[in-house]
Amino acid sequence: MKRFWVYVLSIMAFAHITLNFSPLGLGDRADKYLQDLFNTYAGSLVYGAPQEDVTILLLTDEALSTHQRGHWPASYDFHGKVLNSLLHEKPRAVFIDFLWLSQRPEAIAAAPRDGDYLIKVLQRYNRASIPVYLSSTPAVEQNWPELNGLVTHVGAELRIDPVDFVSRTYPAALTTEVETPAFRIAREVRPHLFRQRPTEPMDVFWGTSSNKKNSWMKAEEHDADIAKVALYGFSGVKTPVPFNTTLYVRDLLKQVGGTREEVREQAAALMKGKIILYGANLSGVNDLIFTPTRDILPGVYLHAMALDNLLRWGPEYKSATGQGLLANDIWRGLWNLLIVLPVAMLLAFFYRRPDSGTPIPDQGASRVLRSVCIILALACWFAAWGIVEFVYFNVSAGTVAGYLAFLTLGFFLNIIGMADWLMDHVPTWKTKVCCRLARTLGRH
Amino acid sequence: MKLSMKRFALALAMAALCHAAAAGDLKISALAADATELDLFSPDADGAYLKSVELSKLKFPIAILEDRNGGFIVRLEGKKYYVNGPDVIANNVYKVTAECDNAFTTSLVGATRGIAGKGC
Repeated sequence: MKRFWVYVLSIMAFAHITLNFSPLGLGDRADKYLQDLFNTYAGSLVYGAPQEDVTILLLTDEALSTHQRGHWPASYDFHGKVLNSLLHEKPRAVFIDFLWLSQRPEAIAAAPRDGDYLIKVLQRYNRASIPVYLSSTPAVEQNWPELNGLVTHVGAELRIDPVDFVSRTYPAALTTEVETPAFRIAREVRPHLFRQRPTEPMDVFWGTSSNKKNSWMKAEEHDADIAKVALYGFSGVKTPVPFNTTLYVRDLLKQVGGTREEVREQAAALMKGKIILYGANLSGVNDLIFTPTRDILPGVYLHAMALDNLLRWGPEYKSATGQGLLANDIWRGLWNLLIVLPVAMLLAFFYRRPDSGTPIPDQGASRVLRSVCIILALACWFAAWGIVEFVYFNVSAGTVAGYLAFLTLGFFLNIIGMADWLMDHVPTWKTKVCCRLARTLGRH
Repeated sequence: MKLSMKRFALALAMAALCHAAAAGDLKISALAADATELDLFSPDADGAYLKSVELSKLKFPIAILEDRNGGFIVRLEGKKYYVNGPDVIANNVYKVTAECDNAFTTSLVGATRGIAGKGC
């Protein structure tokens, strides 16, 4: 019995280290990788269809070539023209994902300055009570004092994982005053969802279902062979048809359809009452992100996906620590150990070495079968708790993966072996040392 | 052969007449819903904003001189201006055939964008 509890304690100690620490960063890496696998292959099952309320208005090379002769940055008048065209469709809110850092040129003769029209259009938004959010830095605010009161400044920084450059985390705010676009828009557009201002950074869960509204787009087929990925890991990156509903600026400025009524109907379906995120996908303008599903997309899609997560889950969005008791480090550590306790007891029971005098059990096929059953049972146990954590405690899949400690079963068993070895040898060592000490003392 | 030539000439004349009639008929009948003024831009390639004219000062229909990139070239007070297509209601014919590539790609280039980039 004493041996059994030594086994259990050894396993619990090991579990504590592996679940609450990440020696050499390896545990954390494994967690993130499994989180990405879970997102890629269970994404459509867990997340479903995109929110109807979000549309991305994407500026592409083609529109820039047609309307600006390919020049970048585009003139402020051009942005004004795009935003005014959008205003006719009466969106619910607009987020502008451009850093307006270019200084406005001086006016020539009596002609208006570039940017005057943009201000005029933003005033129209103001009169129509349509909120406009602008990606900002202190330099943008300094460059555009005329926009104070017309737009809400939101943070424009992206967070990437320093090891694999994946954009998984989306902060709630950059400073106490500057919130990130998705959090600010979600709080203001759906105030009933957020009784308190969220502070915990979000682990963005990427939707992977196909979006019928994007069926007009053509993109590379995504290699989703799970067996290959399971055996060799992710390889290569792609640009798929995006999950979020997308409209090109090209099509907003030059509307194509059978009749005017048809065009109006299509435009309303994409923009009327929607939250529009106006961003760009331009060659040589590297506002690109690397998603957990190993896709490369324009940066505006990260804001769109984070917003989609917030509109879907509200304050119960997924994060590394989750909400409620689990957000507390001590409770979290305890929770982890409680989940591992039955596992430790099970392993200790089945893998214990028989006491002296007990006949040695059969070491053949039955032992292998028993091991397989134990591993399957453990997999189910951890998967079940993973689901509970994801659904009820809003912990991102990364921590779910952390619970897949059965992967370290070999380590556990080795620890049992080590415990056996120590229990066998320590008393002998102790006796030997004592005897030697006694002899030495006797001699003197 | 003579008959064929006559038929061909007749068809050519009819086509020319139809085209002229179509071009002549293009007009702006109103501003987009809720718009209170018409924004006028330079007809030059830069498309710079020039001025806005209040709805009360406009006389409809306004003849369209040219259908260009989803917008229209019009003449007001003797000067040519570019009008943004979505800002007005016109009797232009909508095309149902997509002219552009609908590919969605992100190109990872090892260079910063210059003054002019690629277009379709």
